[in-house]
Amino acid sequence: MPASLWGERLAGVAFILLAIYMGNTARNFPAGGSTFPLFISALMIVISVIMIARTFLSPADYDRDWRPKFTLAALKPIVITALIIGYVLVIFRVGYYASTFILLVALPFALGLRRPFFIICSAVGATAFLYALFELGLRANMPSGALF
Amino acid sequence: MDLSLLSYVVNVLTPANLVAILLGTIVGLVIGAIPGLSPPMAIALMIPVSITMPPDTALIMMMGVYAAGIYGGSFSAILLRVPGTSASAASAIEGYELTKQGKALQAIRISTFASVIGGLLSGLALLLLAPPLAQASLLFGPAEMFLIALLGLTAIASVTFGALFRGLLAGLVGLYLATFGIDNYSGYPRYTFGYVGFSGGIDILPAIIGLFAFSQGLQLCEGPATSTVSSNTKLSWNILPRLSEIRYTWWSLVRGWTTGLVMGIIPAAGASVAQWVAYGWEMRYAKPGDKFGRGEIKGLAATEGSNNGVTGTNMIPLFILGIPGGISAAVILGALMIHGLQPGMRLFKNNPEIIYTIMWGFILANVLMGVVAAAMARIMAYLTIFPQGVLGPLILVFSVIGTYAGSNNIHAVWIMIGIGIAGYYAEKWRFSPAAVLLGLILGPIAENGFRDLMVVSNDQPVGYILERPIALIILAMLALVLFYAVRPKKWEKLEAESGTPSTAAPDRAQS
Repeated sequence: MPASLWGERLAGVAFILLAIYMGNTARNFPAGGSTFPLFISALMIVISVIMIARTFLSPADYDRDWRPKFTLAALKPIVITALIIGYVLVIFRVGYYASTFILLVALPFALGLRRPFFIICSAVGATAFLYALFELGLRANMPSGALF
Repeated sequence: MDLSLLSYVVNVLTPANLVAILLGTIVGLVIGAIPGLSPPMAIALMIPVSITMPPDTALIMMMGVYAAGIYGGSFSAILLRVPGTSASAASAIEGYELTKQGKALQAIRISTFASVIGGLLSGLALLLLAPPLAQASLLFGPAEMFLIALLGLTAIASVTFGALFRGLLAGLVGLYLATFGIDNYSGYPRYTFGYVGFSGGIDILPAIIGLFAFSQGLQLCEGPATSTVSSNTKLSWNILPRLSEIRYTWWSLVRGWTTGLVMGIIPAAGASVAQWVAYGWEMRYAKPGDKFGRGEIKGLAATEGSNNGVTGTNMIPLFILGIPGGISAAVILGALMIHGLQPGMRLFKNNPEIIYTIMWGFILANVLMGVVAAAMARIMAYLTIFPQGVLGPLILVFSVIGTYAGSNNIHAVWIMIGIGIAGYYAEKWRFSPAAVLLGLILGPIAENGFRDLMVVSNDQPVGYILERPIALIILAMLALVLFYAVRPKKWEKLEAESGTPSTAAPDRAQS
């Protein structure tokens, strides 16, 4: 699938801005600590400029339809990530194993899987495996909370 | 060959040592296969367990964890496109494509063969060539290290699949990430943005889990919850490689093993770099009809041969010079010292029974690895017929717990999640996550080499490099690789001439 014309140009501009910001920040690094980041910034600007220039030199190689397609499905990864962040925060209050079990049951169900027996069995199996591996096998100190 | 080396074989065959090897192999395979858990973490957690053991038994167990862990990483790389270790990231590209075509067992067969033989060859190389080859690595100075890092970075060209410029930008982002944290030279905190989690730098563990495991978990959750990773619902039970498969991949295996054996000797190069060099080399040898990026078994054979080919020779600079060849080797170095053994020539002179027993134990661990894997692969392969709605959340949970258990630091978990989201969108928009990882791994080697080079050369690096024969050889290799990267691909030309369609599938190359 060819990259979109404006997608390529916008990406190029975004990376130039990133390179300028990172390069500018690096200028204050002492004792030669700025040399390598500045080298990266320079290289990033050169590559971004070439990337943008290519869209003007051979626009036929790019897909002209650049309009972003927003759908509800596009929100799925963001919602899942938010859930995972919530899960990490809850681990220290509820306890690692209880919160993991709840997540492993709730998330597949929320994703649309309707096999309750399979979901619960896999959640029990995974939680038991994690307990055996970390607590019994490796004797790692996993976070504990109000529950297990 | 010094025949006295053979006398140490019997030391390995004691019940205690055999149990240690078996235990190390099983732990390594399980830990390596679980996305998010890495061999260094497993080795580190085994140190307290091994404290009461004799040094040779303890070290044999850890070497077993190391070898099997590197191999075990390929299980999840092949089956789920989630590399269990950084050393199997390249295997995920071709391995997962094969899995999607219902060829998971074929991929695991060739991976097992490549890894076991690679590990055996590497163990023998360690046993026979340690002292003379270690002498050669002494000749590697800052100039050579800087050039080796640049050589590794050229592998980015091989993992971008038609989006070269986006891949290069992703690689540069990886280089930026490598500069985060306290500067070793000045002690000044670089790019911390006021966040305490960045002051220690971006560790490879959360980065690799985020880029490959967490983002893959999100991808699996995004798709239909009831569908499976593999299109198959039944799997073959044959784990032994077929003669035709070995014949088809033979030269790829040889190239992979050679890359691994050589890269292992170079300090700090390690399996993570070797796999990309081997993969890049393999792609340059591609013939019309080869399906690189769409499930080419030759690519998998090369990467799997190279990452286990590293494991033995990686110990050469460690045992002789005390220079760890990678993260796992660094942890083994710590274990060596905890057990009262000092690396160096004195280790070979004063404790030959220990060091050679460890080496023979490592060779035996590679044989056992194949046997244990044969039993485990069948179980692991069934992961591919699990619904995505269960696998996705499982991978996300393992990503969180693997990062936390490996670092004992909640900031590492936040960094992993951040990098994971970035990796998910990078993959979607064709900014190769593998290129980011390459930049992150090679960044410190390149920067330290560059800064040391400036010091030793009195800011005249070009003249300095031109006076060093090994640096010149690496420079010539670099020029050759760059020439091959920018010129029209040989196989594309051949394809155009033969009228066959392009084999690269840029948009699905790594998904």
